[in-house]
Amino acid sequence: MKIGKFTPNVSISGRLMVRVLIVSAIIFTLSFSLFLRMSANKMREEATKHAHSELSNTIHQIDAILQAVEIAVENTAWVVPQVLDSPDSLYRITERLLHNNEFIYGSAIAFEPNFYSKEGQFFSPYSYRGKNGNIRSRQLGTDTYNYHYMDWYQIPKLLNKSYWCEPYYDDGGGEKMMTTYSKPLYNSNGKLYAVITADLSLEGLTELVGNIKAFDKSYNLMLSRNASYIVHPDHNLILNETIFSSTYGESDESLKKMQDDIVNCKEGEVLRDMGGDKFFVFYSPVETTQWTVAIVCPLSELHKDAKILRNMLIVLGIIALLLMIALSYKGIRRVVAPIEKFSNVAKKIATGDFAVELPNITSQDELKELHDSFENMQTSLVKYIEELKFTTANKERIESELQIARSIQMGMLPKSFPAFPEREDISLSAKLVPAKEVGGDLYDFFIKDEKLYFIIGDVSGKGVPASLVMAVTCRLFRSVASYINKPEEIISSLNDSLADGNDSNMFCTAFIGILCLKTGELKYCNAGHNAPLIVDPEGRISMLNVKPNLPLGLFDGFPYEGQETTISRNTMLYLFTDGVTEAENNNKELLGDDKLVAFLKMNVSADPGVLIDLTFEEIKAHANGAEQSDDITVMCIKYC
Amino acid sequence: MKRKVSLMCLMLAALVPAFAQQITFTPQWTPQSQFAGYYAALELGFYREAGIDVTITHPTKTYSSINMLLDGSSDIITSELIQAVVATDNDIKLVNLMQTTQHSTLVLLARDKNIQSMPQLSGLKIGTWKVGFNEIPKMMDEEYRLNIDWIKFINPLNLYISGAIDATLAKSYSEQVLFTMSGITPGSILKFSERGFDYPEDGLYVSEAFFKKNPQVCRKFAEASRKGWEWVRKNRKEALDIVMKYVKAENVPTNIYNQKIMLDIILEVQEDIKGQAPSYTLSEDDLDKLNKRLLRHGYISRPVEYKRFTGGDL
Repeated sequence: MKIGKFTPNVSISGRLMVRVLIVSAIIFTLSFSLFLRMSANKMREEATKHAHSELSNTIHQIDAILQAVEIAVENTAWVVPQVLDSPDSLYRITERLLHNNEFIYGSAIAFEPNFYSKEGQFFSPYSYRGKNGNIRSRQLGTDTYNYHYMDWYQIPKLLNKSYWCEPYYDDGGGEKMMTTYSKPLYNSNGKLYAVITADLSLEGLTELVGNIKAFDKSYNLMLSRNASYIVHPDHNLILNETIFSSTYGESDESLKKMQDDIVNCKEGEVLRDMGGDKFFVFYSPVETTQWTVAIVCPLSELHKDAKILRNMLIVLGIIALLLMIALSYKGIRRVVAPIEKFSNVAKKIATGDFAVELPNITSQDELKELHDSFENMQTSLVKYIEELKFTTANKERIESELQIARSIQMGMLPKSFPAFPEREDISLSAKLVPAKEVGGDLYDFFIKDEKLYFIIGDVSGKGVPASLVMAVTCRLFRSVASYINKPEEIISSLNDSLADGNDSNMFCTAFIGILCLKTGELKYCNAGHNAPLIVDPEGRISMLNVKPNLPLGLFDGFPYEGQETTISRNTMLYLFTDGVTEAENNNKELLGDDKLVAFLKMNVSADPGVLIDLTFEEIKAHANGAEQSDDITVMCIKYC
Repeated sequence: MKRKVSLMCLMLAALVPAFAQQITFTPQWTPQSQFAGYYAALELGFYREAGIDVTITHPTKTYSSINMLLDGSSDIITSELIQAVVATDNDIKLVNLMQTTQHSTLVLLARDKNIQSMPQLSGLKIGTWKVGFNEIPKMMDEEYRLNIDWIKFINPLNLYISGAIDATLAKSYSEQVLFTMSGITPGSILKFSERGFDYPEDGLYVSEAFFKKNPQVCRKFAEASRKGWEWVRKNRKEALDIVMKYVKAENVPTNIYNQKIMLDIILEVQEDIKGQAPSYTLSEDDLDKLNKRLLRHGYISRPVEYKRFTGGDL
């Protein structure tokens, strides 16, 4: 089934509502999107500030603990040279260090190989806290615990400065994850002889970092300088994985930035894709140890508030839109209601009820203008209809009178053809088709004293004025020709009569002929009319030699010259007005003399009546539906 | 897969002969993928199947596997070829039961990116393993007359990060991976294998005395170990699970990502020619070339004879 195009019948208020709704929805959506984006950015900025503030606080606390350890070691180190002669006294130094600083888990004074010849390669008095909290001491170095190659000993020795070693699991020492602060000790010759250390259990520090609660779903990390996890919610990863382990071989901008920042001890934040979820990693360095503390927060957590805000805005937006729809609908209805009333008024006016009452408009706006326009329209319509009625009545009367005039005009012309059925020597036929109800063409003929008097003419202009001149000319021809037998005198008489009082300067072309039916002698006089065509018995066509002269009615007393010739029997005179040769088609092309002559050549043998009918068919074919612009008259006289 | 492995172990355990010989096996370092084939052979029961009751012990980072062979605390060990040759000439005659890796994995990681050749190492502080593996670097030092200040380490990473050394020796499957995983990008990397020092590394060794006494046990151990390595080559993921079990048992600070890369590299250097199946055999030519260099540098007094070193004449 073919479904046609559906054109909904929607009211103006409906369309206005839809447009208001669409525009409002677009504005709301754009505004909300912009607002949400700005809010999200702002919240992210706030979250970043918050995260770094939390990191900063924690790092300060870590630094405070680390500095306390450093101070404790520095305050103890000076005692060591005082007791070098009594190696056993060294244990009291490490024990006192632990006793005075409860946050220190262990302490060693590790000597270079063979510093005490009786002690051999390894001598390192070491004190540590036992399981019950008691301070215990032992010698640390053995063949299987060669501390000389431990980071806490070797690196400060090589660097010649105090050093915080990377967190390590001390299997053979403290048996805990710890970090060690080491201070190299030099003799008076500047030669290193020992390293004094303080071990800090990382339990306290990891607890500090673990307790950061920056965001509901965030977790915290602490990384050593070599990026190993010191703090991670998954304890299996601690000291076993680095933050870059799982991304080995990967390379992206955020990873590179984080790598550079961590290696160069810079703070920062990156957005990372971890296991398919996006996380924000905020990180800050602990300057003392160059570790990194980080907060890892799911992106969704950072956007949580933005999401709540978005949902609230969506609900508020929908409510606002609904309210807007309701209020707009009411407002639009109020505005549109008078338009509907005007619509009903227009419908009533269309049915002819011009006096229908208009809606009452009190506002001074477009509706008031519409009201006034309707009011003017009503007044104009009433007036126009009245005028129309009068005009119509006049037109009908004029048309009726014109019909009568046409009947009268046509009645003045001979219209019974063939004209002289009783005579063998003449065959005559004529036809006049006016362009309007009445026309200015004319023809007439009669026989007197075996002579055929005939006239064909064309009054200037068309319509009623031309028809009146035509009627006058016809009557004058009948009356003058009844007592004058010379065409030029008849013409002169007609000219004088028509010129007399011709204020409207109308004129009439005419051709008058008198054919002697016994001899074929043809006397004629032309007054500005088209020269008639002669078809001789052999079918040759020629134009009758005529002097042009002036049309009738222009100059009183104009000396018209008559002419004469003799035609043989079976000669046909073909007379016509300019309506024949000037008949136009839609392309404004005239029929013309040549085409008329060609037409006659094709029909030389036709009788006058048939020839006239064929002439009008030819004109009709040429006009091809174009409106007739001039009166057309043809008269054929065959001298038999 | 873990369930399958456990089930297979139980089934095989039931078949173990009551008179299985007790063997202590010690690889040359703490647990890692470098020894995956031996762990797999034990876990999958290949040793028990061969009639050997194997206990795996590991050296500490300061006490080598050769030391453990010398003090009698281990029967069969893994060692690098060069240390085994030197020990054979100096301390204890060893027999190579199987040569697992065929190429050098020794690299030098330098802080300065401008270091592109060995002569540029002159006078630098360069880290080297405390437990050994330093014969080749020292020969290089002598040949180029570099006068390098060698700093022995247990782990070079923190020495390098702290700035205490200018460069460090590293194994491409071990320390170099650790560097990358720590976010450290060395300035330049020099591979010894590309600079005329490409010698086979890991192999399986026993003392000549032990071999003479237990030739069949030694051969069976080597065969079961080879079987273990071949299984690992085909089952890398499962092999990693086994490695991680040993790693966790010894509290080794590492992770599965690290071990995976290590295993891939180790399996690659086991191939004599890249892409071909490993022969697990020491080439006489390689030993000959190594003998000559070690002789030149005085590490050995006479060449180690190939047949005897591989147990052929015993």
